[in-house]
Amino acid sequence: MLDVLIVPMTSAYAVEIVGWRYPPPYDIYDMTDGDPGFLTNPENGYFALTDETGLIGFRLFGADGQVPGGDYDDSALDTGGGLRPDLTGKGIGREAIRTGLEFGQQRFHPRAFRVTIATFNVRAQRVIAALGFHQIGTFPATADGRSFGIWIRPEAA
Amino acid sequence: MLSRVEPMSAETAAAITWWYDLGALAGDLVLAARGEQGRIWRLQTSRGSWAVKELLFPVEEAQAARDVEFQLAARSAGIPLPMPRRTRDGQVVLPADRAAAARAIRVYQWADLAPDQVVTPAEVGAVTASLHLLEREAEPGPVEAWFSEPLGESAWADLLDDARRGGAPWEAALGRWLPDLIALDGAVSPPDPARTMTCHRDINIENIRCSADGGVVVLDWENCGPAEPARELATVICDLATELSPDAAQAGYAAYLASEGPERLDSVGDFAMAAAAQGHLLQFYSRRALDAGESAENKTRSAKRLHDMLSQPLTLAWAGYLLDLIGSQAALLYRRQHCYFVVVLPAASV
Repeated sequence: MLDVLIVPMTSAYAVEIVGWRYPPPYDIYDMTDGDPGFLTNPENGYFALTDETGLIGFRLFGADGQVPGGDYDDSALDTGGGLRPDLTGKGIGREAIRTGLEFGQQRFHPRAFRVTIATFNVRAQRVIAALGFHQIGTFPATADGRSFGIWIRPEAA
Repeated sequence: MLSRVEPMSAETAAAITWWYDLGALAGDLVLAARGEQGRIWRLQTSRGSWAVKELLFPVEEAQAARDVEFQLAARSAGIPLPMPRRTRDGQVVLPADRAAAARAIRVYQWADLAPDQVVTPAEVGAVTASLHLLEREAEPGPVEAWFSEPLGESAWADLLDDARRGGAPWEAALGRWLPDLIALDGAVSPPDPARTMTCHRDINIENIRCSADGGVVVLDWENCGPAEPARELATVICDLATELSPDAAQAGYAAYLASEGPERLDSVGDFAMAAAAQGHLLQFYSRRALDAGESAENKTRSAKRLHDMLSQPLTLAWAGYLLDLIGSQAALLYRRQHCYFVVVLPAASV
């Protein structure tokens, strides 16, 4: 059994992450032309997920987890992330998100977590529903009209 | 040991002074130190004191010019180092025939060191961070085998056989560590060209020294070349742990982070460069120590280095221990234990 670790985002990890490419329809998560410097800037809230094999994914906390077009307020901390493409669909994502949430609780003490997920991404919706999130609404993204759902999980004070 | 070395002639001193435009000669070349790659002589002229490095191995001018360029960039960024000199015709290396010497020469401004004073781990960490923050050309070329390739199981076995045949005093220690050293080879993966940059590649407490006028001075830049900075950081942490203490490694890493060093150590793979270099160094010293044609000075030196290195070599366990040590302090932000299994499918099913 492997441990999942959260460590600071390094430039090497960031370079690797912006190079990740997912098969359609998940290619909307490709960071094509992404700037590794954005990921390493602590203000943007990106953290690396690793295990004994190296980088396996990332988690982010803050406004970069929002999708333009959605109706957001300050009542919750947005979170998101990604998994190395070759690890998707193997049940690792749930542990990666769970690890991120535990870390986020410990570090940021939010009143609630909020995630925004493309409506077509049933796989991710199942995972976050299992982790206690509830959908509170949907909206079309400003960029391309694609439908996204907003999910909330209140946290114990 | 040093007194047995053939002195440099007055003719050599005069040639060096003229070629490097050092003013008027004001004394003989005095032997000051001996490293693996060269002997250091001190030369006094009307323009000051100079470190004359007698190169024990051939050095290409192009390589020397590259390391000078890196040194100048580091110096411009505020990293203290002895200023390298060029000859009147712009060369870094003065060929042996021009120097009227047995070997080629390089010259640096002399740096007065504080005697018997060792740098702190925090100073080593801070200097390493400064070096990693330098703006440098990415992908400066392939990383040489010395820093990137494992020795390989058969070479390790040969090393032990040679030690047995030669009745070497390090045979027992090498035999004891051999399975661990071979296992460590498995952690040596090729460097990622996208992550390589020009690095010093020889940062240790012998090359970061306390300056007589306060602060530190960084020496021995001739090994600089392409490497992954994270892997260089791992070699620094290893060196601090073995040369000083695990606490020193922890303090050095903390200082690196506090100085905004951009790299993080989080997997055994980060120790690939340290592992590769360790293997090649052990092989180098072993061959040298057992070579009947080698000088007594070199054989003694090499045997001592083998003894020191084999008292606590880098192994997977040691790398894991160092990772835990530094991870518990700063790099590791959160650990979720026993999360998932890795299922390895047989190749036919992939």
